[in-house]
Amino acid sequence: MSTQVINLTRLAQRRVALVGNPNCGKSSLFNRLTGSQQKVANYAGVTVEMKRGLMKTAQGKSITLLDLPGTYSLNPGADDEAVACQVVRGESLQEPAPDLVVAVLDATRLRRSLRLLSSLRGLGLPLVVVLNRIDSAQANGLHIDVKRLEQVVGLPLVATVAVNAQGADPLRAVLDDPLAWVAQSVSTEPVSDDEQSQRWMLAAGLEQDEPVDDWSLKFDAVLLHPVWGSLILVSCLFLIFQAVFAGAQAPMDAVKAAVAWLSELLAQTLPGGLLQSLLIDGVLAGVGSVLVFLPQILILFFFILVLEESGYLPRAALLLDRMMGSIGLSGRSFIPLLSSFACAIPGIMATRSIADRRDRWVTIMIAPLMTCSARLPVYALLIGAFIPAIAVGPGFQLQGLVLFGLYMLGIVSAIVVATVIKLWRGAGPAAQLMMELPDYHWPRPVDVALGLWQRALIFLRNVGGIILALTVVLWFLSSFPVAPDGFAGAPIEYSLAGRMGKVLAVVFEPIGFNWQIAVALIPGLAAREVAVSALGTVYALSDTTSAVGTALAPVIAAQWSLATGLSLLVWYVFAPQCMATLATVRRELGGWRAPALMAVYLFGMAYAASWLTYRTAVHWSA
Amino acid sequence: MSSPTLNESKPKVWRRIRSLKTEDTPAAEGLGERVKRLADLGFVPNERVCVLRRSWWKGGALVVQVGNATFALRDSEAACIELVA
Repeated sequence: MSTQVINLTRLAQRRVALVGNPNCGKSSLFNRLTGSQQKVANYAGVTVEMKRGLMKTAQGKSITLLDLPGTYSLNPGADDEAVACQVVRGESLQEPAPDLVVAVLDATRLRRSLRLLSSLRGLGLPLVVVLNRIDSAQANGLHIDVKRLEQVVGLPLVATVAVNAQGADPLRAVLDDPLAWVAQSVSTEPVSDDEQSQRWMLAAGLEQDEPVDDWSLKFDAVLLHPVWGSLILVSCLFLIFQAVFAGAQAPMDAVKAAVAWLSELLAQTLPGGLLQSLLIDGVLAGVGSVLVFLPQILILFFFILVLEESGYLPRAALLLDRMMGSIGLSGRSFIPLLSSFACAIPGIMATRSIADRRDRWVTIMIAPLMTCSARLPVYALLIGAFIPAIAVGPGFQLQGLVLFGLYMLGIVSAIVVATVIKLWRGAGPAAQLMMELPDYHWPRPVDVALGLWQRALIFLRNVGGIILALTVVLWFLSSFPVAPDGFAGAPIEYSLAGRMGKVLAVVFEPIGFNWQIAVALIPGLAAREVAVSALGTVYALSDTTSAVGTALAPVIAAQWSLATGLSLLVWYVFAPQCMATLATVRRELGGWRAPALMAVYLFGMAYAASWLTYRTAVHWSA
Repeated sequence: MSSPTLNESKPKVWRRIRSLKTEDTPAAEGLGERVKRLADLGFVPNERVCVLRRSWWKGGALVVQVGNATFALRDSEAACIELVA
């Protein structure tokens, strides 16, 4: 066949798949070999879909490398494992079977890794074995004779340390060996995979009882304690919210000052008119108001990355398992929900590791109630404008407390929604837990820094992309048609956006939103933080006397009532102002039913909760 | 006489797995799948296991060491694991 000719002549066509247990370091190896920056963390199920990259062998030949989700065996337990099994079996519709499988063994979990290797031998594909995390095994006091293990297993075998710069080089070298690309014939002896694994260990002179990481046991004695562990978990989360506000002030002021300076500069150098208005009232007022919140998002991500890397997350999931059981979920839903605090999209994708269909559906439905980082600019703007920055006790700031309260409101609502679903459709049998608790390790500063850098890039790309684009569109809609001379009121009220806002304001009037907010909510459907830039532009154009520039907070503080501010805050706890989330739900669950249901119930809750907040606040302040 | 099972095992005591329950029990729904999964995770005969922590609530999750890996298991899941007496 012609494909075979291509395979033999052009090595770049060759595809190599990394297969191994969850959390054995496949993605670290993948990143090391391909120079990619896939997400790595310390828990099972970080990688939920196949990733592809190009790598070079030691001799400089190109190979396509596939990073697959981890799997404990070739009998998949959940959707993420199924991806890996289908690809190596050649049953995947998206991807033909690879030309070679690299079996990644975790040197600290050898018996179980060898069991998977034993079943991989039955596939009839060329196999190369990688003994990863050999450094951790040695630190635990386990000495593996790599040469001897290679002889025993009878396959090309190299030791790697994927987290070290040169750690993957042995694998690059072995892939240059033509013999590695030939499938070995498997002995026909009918032994179970476990028996095979034990025979290998015995023959390699390895103890059957592998050493245990003592430090992890000691940490778990405290961190999994029902009282101390729970206290530590709650204080941990609380500290993060305090830090988001307390630590970000200085860098935020710096960004604000820079945008104000630029705005001033443009005002002086450019001639007054449309271009000046577009750049200052449109681009700078809009984009600048969002950019200010980058430091807060980075602080939040710093903590999330450290928690992910340390191996603590599955423990937190276990602590909350019982609580989640009472609302018809299991601890398995915790990590997807926690990821949703960063962004609901990876959170919803992470539900692929939940084997139970019902649990997965419910988890996806409540994931948008977790406060994603895109809400942070909105919350921070409104809190900064309406909540005084006063201390309410040693170390407690009122603004931080309100932010914590908003996060809690999201969580409590998710609990209510899950309970309603449980009462309405039944809880089903308790879903399986069977969750691995990995060894703790110190987060590597390089990984945390890289994660933060990627997050910053994503944020800036959004600011430079969709937010900038929508801001410019909104500027046009808010500037044209130009108001005739002698028009009473701000020119924006004559414009298309102004008129649209006035119509929509009828719908939003009962919950205290003025027409400016109504205008901002429309582009804000695309992504939550767009509403902030949109408000920046709308108010820059509404204010005929002075340039609003970057100081949006004092303007809204002066023009809105406290009730309106609180109502909008609450609106953002619920409203699904994010098209990308709804699109992800459609992709993960198939069909429009689920995203439509999600949009309806979340908008319904948003409207009801905002109405309640507005009416209460008006009544209270009257 | 039935063998002791992991969910009844004393905490902090190392035991060895004898077998995984395969016969039907009242709550046998999906038991085969569950047992297969446990075996995939490393709960295999002759492997050493130890209950590290037991929930304070009856029927709550257990933290179990199997070989050198640690897993959180439900009580019903641990009940499928029979130990050498």
